[in-house]
Amino acid sequence: MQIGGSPFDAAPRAPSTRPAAFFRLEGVMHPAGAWEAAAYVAANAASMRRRLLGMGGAVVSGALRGVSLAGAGLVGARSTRLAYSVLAGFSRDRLEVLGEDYARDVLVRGARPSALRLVEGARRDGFTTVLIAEASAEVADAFARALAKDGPSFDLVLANHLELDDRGRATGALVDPVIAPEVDPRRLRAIAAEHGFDLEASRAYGHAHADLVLLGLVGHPCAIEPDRELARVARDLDWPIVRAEAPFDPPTPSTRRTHDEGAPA
Amino acid sequence: MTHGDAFAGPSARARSPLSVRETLRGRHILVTGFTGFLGKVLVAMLLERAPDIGRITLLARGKKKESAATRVRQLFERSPGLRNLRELHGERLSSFLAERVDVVAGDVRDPNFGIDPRVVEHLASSVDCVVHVAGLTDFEPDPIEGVAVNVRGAMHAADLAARTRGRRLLHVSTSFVAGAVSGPVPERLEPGLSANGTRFSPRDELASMESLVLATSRRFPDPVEAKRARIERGTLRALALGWPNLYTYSKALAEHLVASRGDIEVTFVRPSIVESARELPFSGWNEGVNTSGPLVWLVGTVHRRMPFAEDHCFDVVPVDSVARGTVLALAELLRGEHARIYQLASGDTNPFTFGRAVDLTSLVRRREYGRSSDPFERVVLKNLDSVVHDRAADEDPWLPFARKLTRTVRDAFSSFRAEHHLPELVRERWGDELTKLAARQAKSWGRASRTIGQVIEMLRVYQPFVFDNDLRLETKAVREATLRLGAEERALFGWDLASLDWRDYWMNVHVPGLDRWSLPLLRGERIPDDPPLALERELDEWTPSLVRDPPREGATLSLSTQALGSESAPTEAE
Repeated sequence: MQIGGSPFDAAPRAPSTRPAAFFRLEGVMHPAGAWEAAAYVAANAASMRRRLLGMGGAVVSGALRGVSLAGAGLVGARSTRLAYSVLAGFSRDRLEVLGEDYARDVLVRGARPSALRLVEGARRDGFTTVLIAEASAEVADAFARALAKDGPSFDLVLANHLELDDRGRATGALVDPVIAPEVDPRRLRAIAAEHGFDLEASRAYGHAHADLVLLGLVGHPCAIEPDRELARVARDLDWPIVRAEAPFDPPTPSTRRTHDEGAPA
Repeated sequence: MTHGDAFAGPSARARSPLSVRETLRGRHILVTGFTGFLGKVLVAMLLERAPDIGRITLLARGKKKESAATRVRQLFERSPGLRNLRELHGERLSSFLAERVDVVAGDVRDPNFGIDPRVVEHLASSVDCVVHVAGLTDFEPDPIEGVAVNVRGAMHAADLAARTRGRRLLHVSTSFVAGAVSGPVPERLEPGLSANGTRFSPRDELASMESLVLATSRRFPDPVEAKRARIERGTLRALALGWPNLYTYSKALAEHLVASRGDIEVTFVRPSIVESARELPFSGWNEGVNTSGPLVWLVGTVHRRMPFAEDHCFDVVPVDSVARGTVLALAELLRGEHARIYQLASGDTNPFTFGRAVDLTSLVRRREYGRSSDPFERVVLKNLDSVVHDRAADEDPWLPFARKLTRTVRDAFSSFRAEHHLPELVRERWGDELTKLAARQAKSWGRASRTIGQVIEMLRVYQPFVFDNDLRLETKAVREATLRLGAEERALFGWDLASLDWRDYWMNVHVPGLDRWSLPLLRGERIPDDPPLALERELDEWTPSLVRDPPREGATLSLSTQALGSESAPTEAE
């Protein structure tokens, strides 16, 4: 695995805390969204009826998310809950095995090289690497495990958990608190306090405008392959932007603003 | 010594320490059924983990061209089930075995196993325990064989044990002697009380079964018909007493007959469904077609709806776990601190269900078929996950319909005649090819029809275990025995099922093990042996010519290499 660098200066650290680097799975590490993971698992249900219903539900969830991005106000946890409600009745075994398959065959194969290099760089710089996934823990954990085999590893994985009944089958609900496209700032602060993360010294990597909350919480935000809205904000706020089309060079303090874009508009 | 339903003073027993290795040091045991699946792993475990055992005498049948010793030697040389010993000792295996293992020719169907009386006399003077593993495991054996091997064989083992120095018998039975019941199954045996609570005399039952077998054989001159009638009538007898088939009936009857003896110490080891090894001789090893093999095979076919009860316990136990439990029972028996019954099952501490088994097997097949180069497997079979139907096999109309359909198609192809079915112009041009094609198709559809017939039959035989009954087998005795072990021996001999990760075992150990060691047998293929590691010499075999002198009372007997080499009597040693 190629080791890249960080678009940040070495961050000042509080003596009692440590800096973290937050990476969104969806959009940053891989272009696919959470509803696509749910659709993959649903499409591999044991029964045909469940497959059809599941895929239909996941696609509807994806469509709603598209609408929400257009400003319909559904960016919260509802679309995430809807995407995973299609997995009601799935056994824990099937969720875990299909999660591994999806992580190995889809996420790892299609992971953004630039993001992988940033994870490596953050680890090298002494940051605690945190993966934040809207996907289920079965997918996110499997992705982290698969990456760690011969690539960068995450110290902490924050993902959604499917509620299971006493027979080990998914009820279709997600365990609260749900990780939505927009991160709950109070929860992130609580997690930071629990793990001793210094948010001011931390880095965060986002892809969509829903990640603005996350990026706004840390001292060193960075946009990876940003959508139009996030790119605009990033330029306005002088955040670094990483794009895959351009060669990615290890950053130096003087390149803090951006690697491949000109001066912000 | 204990004779209670379970064991005397379980808590006191659980508290006192037990060392398996110390207990087995210098002891002489006689093992039957070494050539079988469990027998090999049991002996492999004893020789690897308790190498200070005094002597293991293996009972084996000689064949026309091969002595019993030759058969046993060949197993040590090339059986995958004994691979661990070859890897451990390499070229020194021969000398290692010479000091610990010998062979006696015999057949469990015969009184005293058919061993020459002079050999019996000598063996008896040193054997501390008879470990009777041999048995038929077919669910529907011909009652002639079922009774001779499973019932009479156990009685012969008890008779022989009664003549030995130790007067102890460890009898390997099955958990399914509990019969057609559901719910918790305690480790209990009340001689003369059948599985459905009927009072019966085990001796009279054996006599009447043997009379029934004899009368049925006389009535039907055709051997095939006679066998079918014997199975049918024997099964009816088993059902009347609450056992679902002839296998469980014969094993239970053996327990009742042996348990009522007062002249020996007996302990019954009751494994549930014995399947692929976790670690010994190596992960995934299996032998023959055991219970789960056909079910796993069926999940990989186009048949999707499995007639199983989803939440019923599928009580599978890895063979090396069964060997651990058996060794523990043996050690406690040798110390006179044994339980009457050791159920070796997974259901009470770490239950696995048929629903999970089908789901996990489908997931294994899905991955395999996804990598296949065969488009049918990659596109069709991969997406045909099996589902539990939660309905009895005999209520499922699909398989009989499929059988009828394939037969009809086969008959249509079989009856094809170019001269009748084709116009002259076509016949002249393509008649021969089409006739050959029809013959090939008839054969292929006939095969499919036969396979479906076998599946229907298999599901009928399995129905009591996969749908009708839900046994929750208690395993208190073996767990308490485990508590007596120190940390080191617990790792070697302790009951380890509570920690078994079923998903990992099923997907990464058992199903790949079946694919490698069992399922090829269903396709008529042969399982290759390991590359042989030639032993320098034949194993010692007890023969009458070697035991001319009567043994001294209280002496420990061993066959020395020198004695065998000079064809003289075995030496006696304190």
